[in-house]
Amino acid sequence: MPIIDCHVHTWSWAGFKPTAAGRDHWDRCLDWAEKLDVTYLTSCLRLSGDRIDSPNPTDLHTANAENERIVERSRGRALGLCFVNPRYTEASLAEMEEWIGRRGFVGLKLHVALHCDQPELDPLVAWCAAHRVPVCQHTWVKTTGNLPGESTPMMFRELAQRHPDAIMVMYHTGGDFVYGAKAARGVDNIYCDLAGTDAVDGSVEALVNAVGADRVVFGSDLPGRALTSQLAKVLGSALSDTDKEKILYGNMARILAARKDHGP
Amino acid sequence: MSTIGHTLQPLVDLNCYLGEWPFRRYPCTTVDRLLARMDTLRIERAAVSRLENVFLKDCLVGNRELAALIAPHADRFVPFYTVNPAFPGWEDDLRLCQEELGLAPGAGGIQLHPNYHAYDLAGKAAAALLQCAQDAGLPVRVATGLEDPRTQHWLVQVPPVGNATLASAIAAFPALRWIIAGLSTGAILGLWRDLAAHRPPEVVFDLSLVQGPLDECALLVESVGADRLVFGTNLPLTIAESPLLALQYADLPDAVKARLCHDNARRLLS
Repeated sequence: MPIIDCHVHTWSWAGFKPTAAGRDHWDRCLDWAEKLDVTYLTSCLRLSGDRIDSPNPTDLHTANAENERIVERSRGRALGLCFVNPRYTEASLAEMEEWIGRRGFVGLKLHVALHCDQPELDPLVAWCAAHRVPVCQHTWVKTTGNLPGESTPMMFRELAQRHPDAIMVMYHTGGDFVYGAKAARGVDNIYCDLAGTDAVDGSVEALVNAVGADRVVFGSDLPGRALTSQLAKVLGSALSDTDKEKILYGNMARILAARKDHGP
Repeated sequence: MSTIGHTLQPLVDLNCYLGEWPFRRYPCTTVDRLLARMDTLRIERAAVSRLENVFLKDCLVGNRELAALIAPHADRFVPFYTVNPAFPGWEDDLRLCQEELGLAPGAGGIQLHPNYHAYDLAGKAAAALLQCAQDAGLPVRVATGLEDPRTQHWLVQVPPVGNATLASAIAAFPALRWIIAGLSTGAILGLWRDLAAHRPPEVVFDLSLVQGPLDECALLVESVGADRLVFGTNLPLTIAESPLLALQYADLPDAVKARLCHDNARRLLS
């Protein structure tokens, strides 16, 4: 069964050391992609090893160019997501025109620069709706406390409701699928991503019960998480094979096929 | 992708619980469901503790429940009875576990929850219990954490047992058989560094919450050695297929995988 992993980062975990043969962490990510027949959707959120929570326009361009280099060396196993900062509307739109409009990136990546229910996001999401590309927004709701600009599922719900024609991917589904499912329920343009959480038994079944298998997509949060632990959420679930195929491949394949002027 | 686990040898689960959790409904909380899951995944035996004892004040109640639940399945379960050294009468309760419930070397171990039971594993009360366990030849399993602290219930926020505490306690009881359960890859590597001067012969880490980064099993084998790692599920809280898939797809020789799947666990439980 082919797999589309909609949530992958290009940064290297500290434990990865390039080998004597020059192979680095991304070569190992590609080894796994080929071993398990996975296509990655990648974003670059770090420069020189440091996370860029609120990147300036220069940072954004550097990060997206780095992501393109990763995509180009991926033997068809990776598709790029354009990283933007809604605090810089014009610069972000320019990045989107360049990387999504002209250079083949397939969606938008928003991280923790600004709460996603803020109006600064509206022009960016409207652009994505017009081009039929997904908006992938990091969300978490942490008992231990969110980062200052880190969005919750309920903020994401509000944004998705303002843009019913946009394809909205709730990255991490809030980190707690029980919570994220409640926020996504009843808003049909929200897709719930499974990435980057512990493999909690029964959690994917609960999510599917709440929003339906057509609105759940597989993501891993590679390389910080292992593909195996994240795949276990789906493969170890009590879902039908049909639902597993939708989550691992079919739903995101349908989203990618909807891109305006790009086709399947 | 081949069927999960079917390329692996039979497994021994060294980190398993039986019971309900107060904040979520989990699918695999009864003996019958756990046995069915074990059969599906070819887990031949599980070292199991009573999950309710995380929150029960009187752990002897949960221990007796556990003994009754698993009694018909003695070939599949090894009991790990929970003891809280900060609660009055733990010495008598431990003795009752030995006399009434059959706790003995080769027939179970002691389960500790220092964070949920709010005591210092490196402190005086815990030291008395660890000395008893060492004298009795009983293995001790320390649950360092059961779920991601970021997703805990808002009224029950329990940080994991810290590496400094673990290192201090382990170094103080080098003859004890230690099972350190629920650590991440980074925490295992950090603890291993902290233990550099005092690495007891019988300390193992379970793989249940080792859920990254990429190539985590190979990285851990290279760093701490194949004799220090054991298969564990953290059922019913965690999906058993997570460590299982990690082992199945790890770039390791079959002989090394056999040590992680069952050899090391059998040694610890013997």
